[in-house]
Amino acid sequence: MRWVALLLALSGCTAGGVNPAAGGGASVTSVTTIDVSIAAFALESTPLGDARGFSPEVTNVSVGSGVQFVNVDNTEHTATSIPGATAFPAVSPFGVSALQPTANVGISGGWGAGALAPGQMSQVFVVNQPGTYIYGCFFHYSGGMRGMIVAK
Amino acid sequence: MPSKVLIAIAVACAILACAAPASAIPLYAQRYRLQCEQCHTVIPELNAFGISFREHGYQLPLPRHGTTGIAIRYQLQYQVDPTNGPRYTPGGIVLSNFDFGKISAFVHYNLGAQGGPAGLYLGYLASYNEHTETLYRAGLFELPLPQSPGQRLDDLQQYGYYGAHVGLNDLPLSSPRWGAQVERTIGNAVVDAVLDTGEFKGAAYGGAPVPTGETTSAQTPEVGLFAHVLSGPFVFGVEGLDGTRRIVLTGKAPFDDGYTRAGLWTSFTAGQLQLQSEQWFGRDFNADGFGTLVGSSGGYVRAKYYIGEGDHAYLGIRYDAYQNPIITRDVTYYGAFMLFKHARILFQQVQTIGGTGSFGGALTVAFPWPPNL
Repeated sequence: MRWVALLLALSGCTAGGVNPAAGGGASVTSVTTIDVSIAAFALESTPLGDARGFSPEVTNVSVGSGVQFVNVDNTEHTATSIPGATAFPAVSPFGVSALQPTANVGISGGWGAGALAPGQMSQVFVVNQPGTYIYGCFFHYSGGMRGMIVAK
Repeated sequence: MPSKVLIAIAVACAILACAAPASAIPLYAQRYRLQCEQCHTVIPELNAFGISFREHGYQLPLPRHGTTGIAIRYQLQYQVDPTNGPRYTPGGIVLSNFDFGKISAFVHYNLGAQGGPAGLYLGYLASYNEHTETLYRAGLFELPLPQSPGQRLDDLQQYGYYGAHVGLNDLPLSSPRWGAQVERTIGNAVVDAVLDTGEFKGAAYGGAPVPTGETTSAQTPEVGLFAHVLSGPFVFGVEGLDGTRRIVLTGKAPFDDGYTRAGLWTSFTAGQLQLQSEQWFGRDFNADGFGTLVGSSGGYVRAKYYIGEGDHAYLGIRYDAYQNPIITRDVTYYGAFMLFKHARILFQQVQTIGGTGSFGGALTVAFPWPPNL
């Protein structure tokens, strides 16, 4: 009986994972939502090349506002920044750390939503500096799942 | 408790009293002149006799009748998608079985739905040696998990860790494997050894495939060892898998991800009540191509209560969880009953912990309907 109780207690346990928090505490003037779905959003042309999986692929925002990703697909995705990039890298630059949401929510640094389950929203990323910011999905970057945020 | 759950339970309780006996895969019923409920509680779930029949290579030492070798199972699924709203998904499978002496050939073919591809889901040759109490199986088969992950699900929700991908390793426990399996009964114990080199790729019930830029395959054969022992009302099981995936991302050099999966499970039956739980732990040694070790885990705890003579209806509650490393947890309240001998009604309410709930259901009908069976 002890073994049964132990196994019943263990079952469904998840050890030490990341519980991606939704929302964010940063103060922003407005929040722009970017929908995430590789199935729904086909390949489009952007100034940096073809991209897919985010809607819009090119998001224009103002400094002081916020950006939030919403997974509207039926599979997991990430939205992970590629710091310092001025063009889409030819191959995936992401390691498995992309599966965890970053503590940093300033868009000018390295940031990431972590693995977003279907229906899940990311934290709000703060547009703190003007510039062009490139990001992509850990799982599907090779399939063209990438996008850019233009902040003015 | 969500109001939809109460409504679902009330509807279920009102109908459960008149639940009909279950239909079998009709070709087996015809072949051996068995009543359908000989093997089934609520289709497609098997009772103890049905499990034994399957583990003996779908053969019985009885006279055979009829020539039917094909059956169809149609399912109309209804689900309220949290993001996309209500959705009806029609789907169907073709089941076929022919015997060639001591060898039994079994096929489960998914018909396409909603633009999704049709494809072979299960297809294997099976043979049982009664002297050694050993079942041999070769082809495309499900891993010998305590709950069938795709062919005989008792609701519409993925079980615990069964569907989990880890990093870029997209091979879950639920994918049927191409390979060979040997299952031997030793007293009260059953031991399974599995060796496989490939897996089912495709959508079970629709969903147009999209290019993802990733292809994966077995770099080395996957080896699995499964054992469980019966002890009175208890069953105790251990499970293990070891393999290496070759992962190819478009434009990037291929890399290999060695992985292990280890599991424990137990069940307890008392009268009409059945409790079951299973827990898996996984390790991937290079799931992103940068050499990063990724741990994963997950499982479920399930309570089911069967109602009426023949167990042709049930109510269940299940807690599923996994982390890969994102954590997903949900509770499913569900029930099913036989509307008539060849049709099942299933309903469920899935409550994601920390998220939204969704209601779903399905009508499942088996064809053909042999007379008097």
